[in-house]
Amino acid sequence: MCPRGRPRRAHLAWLHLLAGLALAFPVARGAAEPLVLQPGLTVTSAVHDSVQNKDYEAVEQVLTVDEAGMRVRTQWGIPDQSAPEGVRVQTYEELVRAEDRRAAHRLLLWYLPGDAEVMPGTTPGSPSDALFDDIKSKGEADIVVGAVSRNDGGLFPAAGALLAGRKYFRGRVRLQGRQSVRVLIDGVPAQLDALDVRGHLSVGDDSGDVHFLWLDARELHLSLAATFQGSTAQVVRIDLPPRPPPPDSAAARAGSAGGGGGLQRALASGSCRSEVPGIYFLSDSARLLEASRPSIERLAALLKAEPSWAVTIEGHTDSTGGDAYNLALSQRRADALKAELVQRYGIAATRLSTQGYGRTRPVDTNDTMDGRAHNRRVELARRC
Amino acid sequence: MKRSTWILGAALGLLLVAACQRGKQNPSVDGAGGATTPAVTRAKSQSGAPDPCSLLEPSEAEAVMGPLATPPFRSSDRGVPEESGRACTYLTGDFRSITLEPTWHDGSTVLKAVSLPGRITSGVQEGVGNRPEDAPTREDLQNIHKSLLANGVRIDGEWDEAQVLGCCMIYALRGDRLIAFDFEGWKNDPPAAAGLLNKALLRLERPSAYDGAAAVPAARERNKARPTVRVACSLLTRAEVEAVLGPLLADPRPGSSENVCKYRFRTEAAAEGPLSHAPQQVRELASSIYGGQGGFAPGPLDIEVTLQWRDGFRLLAANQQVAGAMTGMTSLPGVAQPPPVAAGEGPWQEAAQYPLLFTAVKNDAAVSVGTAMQPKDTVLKLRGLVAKFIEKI
Repeated sequence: MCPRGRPRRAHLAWLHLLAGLALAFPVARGAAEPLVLQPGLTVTSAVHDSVQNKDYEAVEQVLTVDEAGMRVRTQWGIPDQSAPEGVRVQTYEELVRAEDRRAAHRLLLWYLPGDAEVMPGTTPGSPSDALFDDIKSKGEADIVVGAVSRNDGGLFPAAGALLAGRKYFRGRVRLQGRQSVRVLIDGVPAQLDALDVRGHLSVGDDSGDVHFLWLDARELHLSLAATFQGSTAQVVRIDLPPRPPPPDSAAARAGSAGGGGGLQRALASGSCRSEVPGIYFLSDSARLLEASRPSIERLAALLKAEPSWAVTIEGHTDSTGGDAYNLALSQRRADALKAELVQRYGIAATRLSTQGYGRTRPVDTNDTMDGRAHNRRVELARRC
Repeated sequence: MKRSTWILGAALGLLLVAACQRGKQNPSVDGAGGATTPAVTRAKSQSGAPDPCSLLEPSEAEAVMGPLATPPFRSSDRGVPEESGRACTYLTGDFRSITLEPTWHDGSTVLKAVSLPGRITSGVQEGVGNRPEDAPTREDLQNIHKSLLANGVRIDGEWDEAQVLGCCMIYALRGDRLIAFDFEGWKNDPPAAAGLLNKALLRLERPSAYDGAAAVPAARERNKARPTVRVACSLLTRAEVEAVLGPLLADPRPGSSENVCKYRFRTEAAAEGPLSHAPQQVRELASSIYGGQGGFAPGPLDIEVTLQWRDGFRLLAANQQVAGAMTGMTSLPGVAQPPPVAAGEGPWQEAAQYPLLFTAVKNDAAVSVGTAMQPKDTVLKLRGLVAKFIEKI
């Protein structure tokens, strides 16, 4: 039987790390506040795709959590010179069934075009309860990993892998020890304890070493990093859902749906400056991702609640790329956020100015993935 | 869907070509490397690939399908016996069959190809906009959903990934090996079929030493017992037809092919027609569609009896799928549905009354007649005519 219809370019995406999350987990917000999984939780991963030899960032956001499972939306951009701004946007929404989060031993490390909303019997990247328990209690576990192999390409690795599709490697992984992993939580660097899990997986005559760093928390099953056949994904930041604003805050009085109390306090303080958490752009692009919606709404509500405020939106990048490129990118990102606030939320354009700083004002090292993630940010400066 | 930037990708273009030529390729060589076992070696044919009949034991098939008429034999993917066939067919005494076709290497490529129609219209979405509202909508994303079976039945299996096509074809991938499991020629029973498929999947790494080519002569001999192909109008005499339908208004005549025979007879006024309780608008709609062919008024009625000499069980299963999809369209308010087929009603081995059609099968030969918008009495008469045809098969 021959498939019909117009094919489109296939897009692969290495790894999603989030979907093994449990209902509640005790990670610290800024090392102080216990966290609960809920809609709006967002995990950003830096990805190196060895098949296509491309680097990009993936943003996963929890949409719902209920007895059916957890619904997660992932967006990422693949560098593509034929696409607008040289990047192609990808979105995948999936439901990770509750039963799979409990018991599956099959992990999917790759998205493929047309992957079903539900991939029964799998978790995307992170361990299920049963798999995590096996590693903790027995020190080893049998797993199946669904991946696109870089060994299928022959002379044309990317094209070959695209043709080959995803296959399933089997093998045993073992607990090798523990590591401390640095991740930004709500923009604040934090050290998280992780289980170092490694193994050798094979299918037919193809094989590869797999290496996971799984967050060592019984209530939270999250893969902080994964490496297989040269592809790597590493969680660089976790942003929590916006907290409700203080009851007496201007944002609350304005009926803000989200939080914004911290942002309001920072802008009202002597520094008149704050990073705006939860603003996500496609890699190397000024395209705002859907995951930014709650933060933008919160920011718009705050600006409406403080009509006398005028602010400068500042864009900052990491050091990857040249000075001119980063300066332009940071300016375009600041402009994109302003346009969103003006066009969608009716904030007067005269109250908003923009400034791109490129890589000139880092707040962290540019030598690590998480450090670079920290440096890529949007700040607000109130004119005061 | 807001997104509509489908790009013709060179890579996937190649994939399509490769997939469409799949049936023409030489059997692939088992590249299992370390997974190859002595059993595999014994089961390999001259081409190097294991025998496709080495995955499912005859006794396992018989436990689900009933006694087999011949040992499992190598075949084409449509069940035609071939010594070098890439598929294996299991055939029962009444010519029901299942066929499984393994792909021993690069099965993920095949799965990707057969999944492509779904993959084009669903799954990972591309966004084009510069703002969040240009991201896929909830409605867009709901289109992603594909249940494993169209009718909502979920089946579990030993596969890593699976794709269901139509009513009765499952492509199941395990590791990098794939089995295309076709049970359309048996019956539309996915859970039972999945049970067989699971047994085959678990044997992918260790096939038996069964020789399916050796069973091909017996299968060919068995196929000689299939119903003999004849001209449809030659099966029944006019008198035999009139004994069921009443006086014919014209001689029986062939339809669009020799497998079709057309009859004209007069229907009687029915005490209660299919539209007796329908609203006026529905009556008018039906009249506009069916005209004088509608059974709601007595008068001349032209019918066609269609014979299909092979793949009758496939026809039943496929029709069941189509009828399920059409249920909403045929369930107009006030319109009576045709009576269901009673056990023992006719000499067929299996029959089904669909909203617009009645089909009966014997020894894999099917006889069908249209029953749309006919009152119960006429429907039963037409089924009686089909029964006469079945007796002659």
